[in-house]
Amino acid sequence: MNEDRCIKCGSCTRACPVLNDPLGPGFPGPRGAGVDAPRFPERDSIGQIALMCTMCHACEWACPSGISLTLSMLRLRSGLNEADRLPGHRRMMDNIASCGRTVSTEFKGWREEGNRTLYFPGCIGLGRLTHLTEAASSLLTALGVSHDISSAAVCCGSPLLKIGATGVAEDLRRRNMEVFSRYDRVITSCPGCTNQLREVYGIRAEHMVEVLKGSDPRSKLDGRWALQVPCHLKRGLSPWAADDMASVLVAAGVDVVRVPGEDCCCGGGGGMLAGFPETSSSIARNKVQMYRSTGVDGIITACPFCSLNLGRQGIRVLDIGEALAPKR
Amino acid sequence: MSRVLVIGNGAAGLFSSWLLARKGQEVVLVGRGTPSTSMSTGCIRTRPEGCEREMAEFLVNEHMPWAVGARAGLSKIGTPFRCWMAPSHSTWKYGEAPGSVTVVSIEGHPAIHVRIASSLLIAQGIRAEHLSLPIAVPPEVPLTAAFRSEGSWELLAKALRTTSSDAVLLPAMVPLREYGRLDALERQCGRKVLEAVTPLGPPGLRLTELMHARAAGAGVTIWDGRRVTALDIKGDTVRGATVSGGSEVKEVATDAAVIATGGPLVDGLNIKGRELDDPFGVFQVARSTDALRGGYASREGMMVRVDGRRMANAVAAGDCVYSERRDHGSGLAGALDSARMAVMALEGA
Repeated sequence: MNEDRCIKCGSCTRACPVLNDPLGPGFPGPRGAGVDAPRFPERDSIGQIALMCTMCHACEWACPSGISLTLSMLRLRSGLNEADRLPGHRRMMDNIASCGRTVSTEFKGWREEGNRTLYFPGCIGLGRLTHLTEAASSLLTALGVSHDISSAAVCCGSPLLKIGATGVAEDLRRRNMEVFSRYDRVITSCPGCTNQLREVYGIRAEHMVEVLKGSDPRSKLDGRWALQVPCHLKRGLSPWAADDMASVLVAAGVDVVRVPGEDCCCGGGGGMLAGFPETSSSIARNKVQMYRSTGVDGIITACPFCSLNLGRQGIRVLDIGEALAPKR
Repeated sequence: MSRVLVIGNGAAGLFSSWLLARKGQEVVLVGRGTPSTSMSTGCIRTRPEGCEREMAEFLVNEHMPWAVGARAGLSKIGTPFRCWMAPSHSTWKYGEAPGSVTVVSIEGHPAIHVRIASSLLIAQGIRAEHLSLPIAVPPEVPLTAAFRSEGSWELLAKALRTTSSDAVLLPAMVPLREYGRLDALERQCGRKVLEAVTPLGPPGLRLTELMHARAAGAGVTIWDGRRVTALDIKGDTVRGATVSGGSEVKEVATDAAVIATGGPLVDGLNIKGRELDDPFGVFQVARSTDALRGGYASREGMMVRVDGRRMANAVAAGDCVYSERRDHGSGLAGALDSARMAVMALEGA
């Protein structure tokens, strides 16, 4: 790793959404967790606070020395003891053991028709936000993309890597690869899944934003809408895809209000939503307060975790798949 | 209208982008990581020689008024600081120092060093008092985060009213959009509110945010978090670049390039042994015995290839340019001036 490049400028600590939240202290920050902890392993094991990062990559983008801070913090997690597992993360593991997904599955509209395209909604879309999955699926159909939604596909494994359960993530990958082998194309709604499929599975999965970019959709919405640009879309997948998210919506006729800080983390990533729910909702609450002060009617995002975490603060949050329809 | 690719997201890159966009060029700026502009004190120390007017216009914004002229202020350890242009609460007019200053500290936080500051103030003939706020903030937590609620500002105003000094010295903690809080605080407590001149903190971040907004407002396309990994050069002409971001790589075409990659950090000049070296492997680097002065060589304003050929459409700007006269503290003014010269050279090409 490249932690030795640290010049101690503190740019990462100023960029960190957890450290900058009133309920964040307790987390040693990206410099403490990403640079010092791996460099000085003789100090006490970092323990559960290593899990207090949303994996938003903001520190990594801020670092003038190009240190792979997120990866460095992720590695700390795979070294955690089973005893350090947080209650919320244990629940995720239990759910994986019983149904193959991190949350219990509520979705009923499986489509297993032998199409060549698979729509892979991810655990949140199949458990907590089934309306998001239904909307994305109808939009794809209306755009002429015939697709399956397979009940045999399980969690992509990304959340398991984030909580340090690497072995379980590998099992899930093997199960999914069997399903994916029946398809030519995989479309996702969750940037976390997209990254996992691309980086770990080696599949050129497409995110909804990338599908919508070429399909000239139109807006279904009235009113003024702000964006929540997902961390794993912008700083994970591709910053161009994040630019496209805005331009697709504008071109479709959505009245988009660009708000400073729209690309800051909502607090929902990296296992924080399950592991540190208070800190996670505090970050979301402060973010929603900022959105409210701009007088928008709601927020459009492109990540189920952002939808879930911000939506719980009582503001209207739509996924990009819910905001658009095909041109008439 | 022609396309210009600007590499580097610091003062030189943003200022040259703004100048070019205002002249109708189609500008794409590529840069990642915190530039040294963000790590500066957010004040311009020396008067820029050639671009005073453009710079003043560039730095205008709705949130933070500037004070221009011979100015003086105090650092977070109480050392005297002199500069030529600063945010309104950072300094006083040179020669009009306050007679007494209360240094405000926050328990356990390194944002201000009270003991050192107080003794250095006394050494400068300023009567010093000390006020410790009854809140605790862990040392790694940026103070900006602790001062986000109305309650903390009310508490601060109330505490400041109990002091008997002419002025109070606060740690730097207001972001650009909340700069007006310092005016409000001054009205509430009836004392001159001074913000300690602080590198590696909110003042530098404010300056970059402001420049970023100005460039974007002028129509510059900013590709943040992305990096130019290679330049496509034929003969003496830059024709395009390879840009990478996330897991994507794109090829872009361009009619001209401004290289403003700053000092020898990761995406800037390489350090090879004890010498500076061009990471693109194309341009001549002029070495100097003083590390501060080395950088890209130029001839009549244009960059030079390693084989000695003068480039037709590539210029360098800011800290990555060789400068015999560069001195400690001249960084920002020098970078802005150099950006303006680079743009002029490009226009003459």
